[in-house]
Amino acid sequence: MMQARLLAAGLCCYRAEQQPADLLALLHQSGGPRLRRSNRYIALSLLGARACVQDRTLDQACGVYLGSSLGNIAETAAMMAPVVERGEAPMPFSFINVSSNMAGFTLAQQFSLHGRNLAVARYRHAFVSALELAMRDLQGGRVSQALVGAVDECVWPLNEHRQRLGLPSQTPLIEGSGWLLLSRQGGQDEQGMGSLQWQRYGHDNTLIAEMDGLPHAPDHQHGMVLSCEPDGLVEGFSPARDAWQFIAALAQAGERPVQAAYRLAGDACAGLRYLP
Amino acid sequence: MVVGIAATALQCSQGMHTAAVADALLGQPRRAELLPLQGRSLPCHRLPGSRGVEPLPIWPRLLEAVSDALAQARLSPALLAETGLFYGTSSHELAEDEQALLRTGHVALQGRHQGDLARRLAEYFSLGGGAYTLSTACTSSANALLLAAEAIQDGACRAAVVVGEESLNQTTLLGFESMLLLSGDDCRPFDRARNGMVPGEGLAVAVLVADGCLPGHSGPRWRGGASACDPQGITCSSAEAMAAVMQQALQQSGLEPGDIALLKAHGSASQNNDAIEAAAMHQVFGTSLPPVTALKGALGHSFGANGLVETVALLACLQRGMVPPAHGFAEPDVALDCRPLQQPGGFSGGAVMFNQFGFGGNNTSLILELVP
Repeated sequence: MMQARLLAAGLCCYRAEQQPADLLALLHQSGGPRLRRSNRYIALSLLGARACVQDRTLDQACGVYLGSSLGNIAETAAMMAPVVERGEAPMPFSFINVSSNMAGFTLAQQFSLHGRNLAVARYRHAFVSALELAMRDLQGGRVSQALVGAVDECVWPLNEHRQRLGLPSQTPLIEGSGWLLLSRQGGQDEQGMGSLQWQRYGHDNTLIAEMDGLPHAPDHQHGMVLSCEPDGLVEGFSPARDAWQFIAALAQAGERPVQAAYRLAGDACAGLRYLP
Repeated sequence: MVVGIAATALQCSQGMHTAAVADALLGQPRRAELLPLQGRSLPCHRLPGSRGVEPLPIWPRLLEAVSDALAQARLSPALLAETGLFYGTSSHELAEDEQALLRTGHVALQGRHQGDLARRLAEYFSLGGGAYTLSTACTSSANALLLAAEAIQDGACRAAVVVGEESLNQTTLLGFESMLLLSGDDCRPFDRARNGMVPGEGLAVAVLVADGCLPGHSGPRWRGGASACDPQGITCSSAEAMAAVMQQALQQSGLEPGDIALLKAHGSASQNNDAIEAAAMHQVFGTSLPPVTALKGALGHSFGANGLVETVALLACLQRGMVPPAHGFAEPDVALDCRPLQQPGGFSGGAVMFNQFGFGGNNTSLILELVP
């Protein structure tokens, strides 16, 4: 089992409407920077991270671990067709921003972070993988703090995006960015919210025996179970919704423990437990 | 805990097997070919058998390379159940997505179901220690190797399969062209006449095991490494940040600069980046650099895969007791004060530093050791 100190949790989540929300403007209006030469995915990453970090000053050695199911899919899709169909070279900054680690780089710029900066790609439960790597680095002393997030955006036109994800037409879609700020257990940040534990299980029965707050084990149909549903999370589908539910539950937890289990590949499960 | 590299596999422009690549690096490597692309001719290091811009299918090649490496490593089923998979790539399946777009007129981006190849590999080979896909531009597979070694040292798994994969795609080629970072002819790392990178593609596999899992193992050993972000430079880090990650790697390895027997530079052959990298090396090693080699002159720049491709390629040469020269380097740039090897040299063992620097200020330095 791995354990870390949970310092903060925060997220932003938006329903995808007919037209994409101007996230760059939203970021600036919320007191964030006016990003130049950026894109919605980066703006989304920063909006959620700011909701988590708020006015804290982070350690320079804080690591960034960004998990995403689809990455910066919108800009990649927009860039590919002109390249392939007409041989049009992309604009330099659009091309740079397609790189999966640009969102993490922007967070490092905004929060003055010099630690390791990883982008973890996985369709299901990217956040759980990112969290595992972050907690392992915290436990190993390779970073002093960790900013761990789940970011996924929508692509317009939405019907094409639903087709891409294999969803029925008219399925409500959401996009968002949720983050946890962690520090080493036993480190200097003993204030925080409480402890966060991460454990890999090989068999569901073991998981249920140890996590009483869960209604049942995650199965193939319900890849994630949570001990308490958060209030107010926007309805709709995103591959990252399972992560945002957990993060929102933590943000609202107060003195209440929160437990979640995620079904990983094969019989493996990951159990997350927050203890205030 | 000691972590060893038990087996490797490699596919790149110089051959589809590790031995063939080592032969080329120590002899006469194939030159880059001109790829006709959308009215241009771009030098590229393509995989043998490639036709035009169409990529060789990724999945069959992954199966072949991982099968080959696992067969060499001879991991038991029990050990496979505790083996993690760490996959590094910057383009995922973009090359195949582009071909799908040409066929269907539709941007499906199925390859954007990211991490799918890692998941499939883990299922196919019954690797039960977790599957992770890292995508950090040109440090992707180097970070995958770093995380794999650390996972074993932390006891999270007892062995790891590390994969670095990159297939050339039009978006990447034209993107780098728009940034004026491509050479029109050759890649000349640290050379006075260097004028940019030559793209390459590659697939490399390394199987790492905890000491004790393979009795009698005498191959390369992991010493340590470091990865960090420099928030100052979006396309190129500062020399100070590059130097800092090398120093962190030395510290993690319990080594001093004077302990490094050989340094494999990133050496992308851009005017600016090579100058900064040379300055960083001097900040760490002073006026007397260790022997330096660079492999992009022969292999091209395989972006996310370059870390593991170049590590495996170099290890193959070192295990023969030889160091490959920095193909493409002919005339030193006085301002850099960096003279990579121009002829193959002997290698009698010691600690080797492998450096990779990528977009988004992502910097990685790894140290492996070969005993005589």
